[in-house]
Amino acid sequence: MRYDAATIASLVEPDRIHRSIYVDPALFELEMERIFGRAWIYVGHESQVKSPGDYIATSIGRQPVVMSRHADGKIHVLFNRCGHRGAKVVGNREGNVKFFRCCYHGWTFKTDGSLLAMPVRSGYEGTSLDTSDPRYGMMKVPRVETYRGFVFASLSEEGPDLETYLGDARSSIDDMVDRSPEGALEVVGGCFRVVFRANWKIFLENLNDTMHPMVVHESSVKAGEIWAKEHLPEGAPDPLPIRFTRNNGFPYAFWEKLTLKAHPNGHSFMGGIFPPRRTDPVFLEYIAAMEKAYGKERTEEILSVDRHNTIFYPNVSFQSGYQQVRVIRPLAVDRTQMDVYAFRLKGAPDEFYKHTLIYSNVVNAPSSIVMPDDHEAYNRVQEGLVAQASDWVSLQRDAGRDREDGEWKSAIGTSELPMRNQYHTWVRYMTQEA
Amino acid sequence: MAVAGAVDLREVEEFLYREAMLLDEKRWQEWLALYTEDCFYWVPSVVGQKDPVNTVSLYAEERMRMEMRVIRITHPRAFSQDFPTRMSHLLGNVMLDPDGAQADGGMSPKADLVVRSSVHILEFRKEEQRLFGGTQRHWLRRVGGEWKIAMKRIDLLNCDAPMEVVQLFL
Repeated sequence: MRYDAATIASLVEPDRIHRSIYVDPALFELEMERIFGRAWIYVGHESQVKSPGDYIATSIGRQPVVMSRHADGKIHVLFNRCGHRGAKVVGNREGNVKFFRCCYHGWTFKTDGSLLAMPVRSGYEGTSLDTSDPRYGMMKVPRVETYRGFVFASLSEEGPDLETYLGDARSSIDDMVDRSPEGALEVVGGCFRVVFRANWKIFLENLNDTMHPMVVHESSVKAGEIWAKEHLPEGAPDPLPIRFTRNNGFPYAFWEKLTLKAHPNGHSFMGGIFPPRRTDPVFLEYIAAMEKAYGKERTEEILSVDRHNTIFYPNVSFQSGYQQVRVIRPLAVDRTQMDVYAFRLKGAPDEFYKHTLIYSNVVNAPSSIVMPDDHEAYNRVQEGLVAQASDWVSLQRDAGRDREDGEWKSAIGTSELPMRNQYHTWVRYMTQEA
Repeated sequence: MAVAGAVDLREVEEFLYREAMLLDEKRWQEWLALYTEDCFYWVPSVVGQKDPVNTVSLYAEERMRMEMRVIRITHPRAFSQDFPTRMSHLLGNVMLDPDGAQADGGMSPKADLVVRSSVHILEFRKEEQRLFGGTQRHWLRRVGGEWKIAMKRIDLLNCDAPMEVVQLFL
């Protein structure tokens, strides 16, 4: 079906949404054009392209792109398409080159995308080919900006700058970077690429959905509890894998007390679910490194920030306390890839970093003991919504009780505010025709 | 048993086949009993991964996490196993690997020998079958007249592919 603005707007009511939002391929096509084609989309971290000539290949929505570092140190995001006949120039995921070379007819491009050379240039004399026209190079995407090492790009010439777009939500990126004694992050080698059979938005909704953990994650919560009971004396501190699973089983009252905040641009975060300060020797060593770098007061201020998931609409989620970044790459209306990166806090003790790795494995790997249950739930939402039983999906929990809070709206931890808020933003993008 | 020449390779093969059978039949407690207390189960996420520290791994589990995984997948509320995953392991090319220590990722497991084999793993769940495969290495230690696994490393052909979740052990 063809969607006009009024029809699209009618799919989102204040506290419920139409199921076609998840299952109609026509709406997915429009999302790629109107959301992923306009918003600031997270592309990568500058430590992924440390040296001139380094590049990674990824995508913005479904557009193939390359993020590269040019000879002058500047980072570029280029369409991964040859200016000659259109072949995808970069064929692997990462590497280092002096220049890009198309496999088809050997046109070459500098790492800023500009055309370097083509074989037998004389054949073009007197033709309309203009070698200074960027269309014959690897074209730059319209806008690229970096916030504290995180590179975002927009396929639209127009729109707010990155800082305005991130708004106050950028404090979650600050939270992630400030936790490094050197104020810098470095990506860890390897990346988890996890595919699920559901619409991309279901993942975004789940991130700050606090009514699911005790249900969805019961098996991994129990796994930790049962193991601890069988192996540890009562009251013994939880080993990290149990620490990272047990909290999901906390009662509803715990989650209700958390704060949720939602930003007009679709972003949101929830308060921390793990005690932010630990007393184990590794954490104490880390605090010592922080105090040496920042002094006691500033360290206290940094570590007092306590957030679990932050979503930057529409494609990236930060777990700032655990140095994890999850990137959404929509593949089809019912298929999504999530790329998960872990980061090392520069200047933090090696042992502290090992805790980050444990978190990655327990929670964010395709072979995690936590995530398979999330993905099973996402997949079943996608399967279930095919049913014609009702056209509506409920987002009614605590509707109408949001509080105005500066740039934000805030609510108790068990509210469905973050999802309702995402759909306000969704309507804004989707009803704006080109 | 420390000398490769003195090893009964047929016995070692039988041991690996038994591990594969216990995985296929989900006899988890018997499977765990094949492993030493200080064991390490490792599935790298990139080709030729040097260690489990500077690169993330699909699996990097000490015994505790292996036991937690077993508790989870057998728990009645593990709804992701409402439709249980089925697996079939096929092993071949079993050989002693005198240079195997180089592949231990710096874990230095206490072992008497390293065995290398090829493995094909068929996995079925719901409506689809997946195929995993690659090279695996077992670091074996002689304990009380029996072989135990001190470390297992599986280098999957598709270790860095986008993949749907993996719930059991490979």
